[in-house]
Amino acid sequence: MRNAIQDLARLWGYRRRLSSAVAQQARSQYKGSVLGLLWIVIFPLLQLTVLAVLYVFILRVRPPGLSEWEYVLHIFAGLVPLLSFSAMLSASVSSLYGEQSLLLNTVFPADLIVVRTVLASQIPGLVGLGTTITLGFVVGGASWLSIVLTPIAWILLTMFVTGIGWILSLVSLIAKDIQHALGIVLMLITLLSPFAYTAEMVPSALKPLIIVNPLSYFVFFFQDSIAYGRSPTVTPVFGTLVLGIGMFFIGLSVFTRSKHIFFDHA
Amino acid sequence: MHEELAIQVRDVSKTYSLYGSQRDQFVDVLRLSRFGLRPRSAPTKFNALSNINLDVRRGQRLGIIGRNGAGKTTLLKLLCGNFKPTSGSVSVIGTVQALMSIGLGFHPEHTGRENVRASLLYNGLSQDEFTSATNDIIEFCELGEFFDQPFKTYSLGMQARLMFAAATAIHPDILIVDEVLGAGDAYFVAKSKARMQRLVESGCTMLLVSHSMSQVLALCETAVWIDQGKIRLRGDAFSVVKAYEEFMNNSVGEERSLAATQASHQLDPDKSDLIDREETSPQITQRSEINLDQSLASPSQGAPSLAGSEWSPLKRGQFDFVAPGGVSRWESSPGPKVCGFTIKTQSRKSNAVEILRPLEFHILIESESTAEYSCRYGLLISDIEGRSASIIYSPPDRFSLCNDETRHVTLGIDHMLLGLGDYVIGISVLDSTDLEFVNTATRYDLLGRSFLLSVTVPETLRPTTGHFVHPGRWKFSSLSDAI
Repeated sequence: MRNAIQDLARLWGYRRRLSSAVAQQARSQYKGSVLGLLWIVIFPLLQLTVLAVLYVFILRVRPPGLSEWEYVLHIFAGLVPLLSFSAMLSASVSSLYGEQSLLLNTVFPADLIVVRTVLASQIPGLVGLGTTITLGFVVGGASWLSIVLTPIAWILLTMFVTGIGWILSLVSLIAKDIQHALGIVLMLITLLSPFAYTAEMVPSALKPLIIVNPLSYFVFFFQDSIAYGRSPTVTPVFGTLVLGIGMFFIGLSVFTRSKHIFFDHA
Repeated sequence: MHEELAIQVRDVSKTYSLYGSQRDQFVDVLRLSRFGLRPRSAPTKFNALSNINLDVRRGQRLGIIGRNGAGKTTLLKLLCGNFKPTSGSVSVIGTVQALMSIGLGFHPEHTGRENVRASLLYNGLSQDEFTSATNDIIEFCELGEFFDQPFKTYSLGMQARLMFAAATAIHPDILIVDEVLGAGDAYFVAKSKARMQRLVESGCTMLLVSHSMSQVLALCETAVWIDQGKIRLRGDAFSVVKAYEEFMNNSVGEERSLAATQASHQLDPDKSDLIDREETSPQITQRSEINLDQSLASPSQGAPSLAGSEWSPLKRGQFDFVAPGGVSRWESSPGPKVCGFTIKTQSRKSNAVEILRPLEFHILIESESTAEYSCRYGLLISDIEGRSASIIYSPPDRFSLCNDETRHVTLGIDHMLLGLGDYVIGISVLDSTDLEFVNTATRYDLLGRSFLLSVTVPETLRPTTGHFVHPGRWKFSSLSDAI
């Protein structure tokens, strides 16, 4: 634990460089495209809309007790953490592999390459989150609790991804397979997460899967706080806290201890 | 750690495992053998570096030379901190900026300006420093309109220019440069050198990996030669470069040491002789005033003669004015070999010649067996930074020589036209092909960077001479407007 605190203190010294690097990375993601930075806004909106249209208007799922728009809000609130998780994780896993020139400098620590990538790739997600909260107030589900709780959930999600990103980005230096397999795994996790169900709708066969899927806890947390303006129950709160903080420190410890072994094979 | 040191490397070894397949690597690195997975073949160990000790003082300019795969890049990587030695310790004080493959944070889709910005931001510059650094880079790169075009549209030379400028704009404590200067044209290389010089003068420690020996000589004061993961030689840049050049030409160790001992044996009595003569030499007082005007106006007139002086003939094995690192004989084809060398100025043996004064190079040639030869001799004068100042080739010399004879070759120079400075002399004996094909001619012997010559200029004339005193004719006439 003391090691982890020392590591964090060391990385904290680079916070200014980190924020410049995040801004830089975010800009470079859309370089070479005609619309440029507009994609930061367009992409999350399109992504959310497509899935909402699919469930509400094509599959015509209509849970009891929810209006059309309330259900759209419910889906949005569940999708935002899922889609952001996918975007952040896939970007961070390939971050070390893609930028080995950064390993040849002392000016920007390797640990922060993953953090930088996670933070830069969550910007579209933040736009989606903002949109969803706004929709929440328009439709009427959101309350002051949404404003307080949602950022906490978002920070926990970011910590969770960073922890996994640290470990997987290292492993993918020696096994690029991870980058290939990740797409499938992320798709599966998204589809098996309860973003389109309300608590009553979940089929009993799916319940064990939801318990083992770490992202369900985040989905419940976001849906409760944004779509219903209420504090989540104990399970999602406890689950996200343990996953977010736990994974962050496990990842940090694994990364700082074993990075030298992996860099040799980079 | 000593306060003066910037880098301290102690007993460092680095071993890489080479695997038969990606799967074996995966199993080994993650130690999956604990779970019953076995690699198909055991990894072979490759010692990239073994027991390296290296201290680099603050502000030192160190050249690292060696063949490809000798371990130079591995050493640089260890200094960057993200890579750990297998054993031993590396301590580095200060920030390291490495200029290796590609620039820090460079992105092909970004314009030059944006890339520079990114690179500087990664280095944590404040807004003030940032503005001045950017202006400095713009001025240095001379990219013009291209500075605001995407990086991917640049030529390789332009990319190298920008990356070099960005890396050197931030005044790192330690700058590591791996073979980048090569990518520019001559103009840019010269400009980069000046820039590095400035950086080093401001106290930056520099490590330069290069295969260009003249670059190492020009930019570094000391050098290490790494061979098969070990430091083979460390010393002043000149000696190390010389030894490395000789090695690269497959010099046979025994032959060289034999020649060296021979030379030193026969040199000793001469030395005392020389000192005696110098003390009693009357020539110094006899020096007449140099008349620059006269000498330049009529260089061929009245070539001064060196004859009629106290002068003992050159003896076999006598090598005078040997440069640091000794006589460096490159391996060559069997044939006539240089077995003696000296320089004569102002009717005495000396390697200090005043500008525009005459001098003679005396070379003694021996043969291993009796044979007929047709040779061309070459004398290369290079400056102390390794730049070639002048190469003087002889016309073909046809002779037969048996092994108890020597052939005496003299190159007389009427006026030393090279400017003030220390020079290094190399001698080659080649088969007498046409001069156009001189680079492919059979080489009988070559002594690389082996002797020293210094050109002096009287204090009062220094402002009027450059690197080279060019002969020329001025004409003056008045024209009437009426024409």
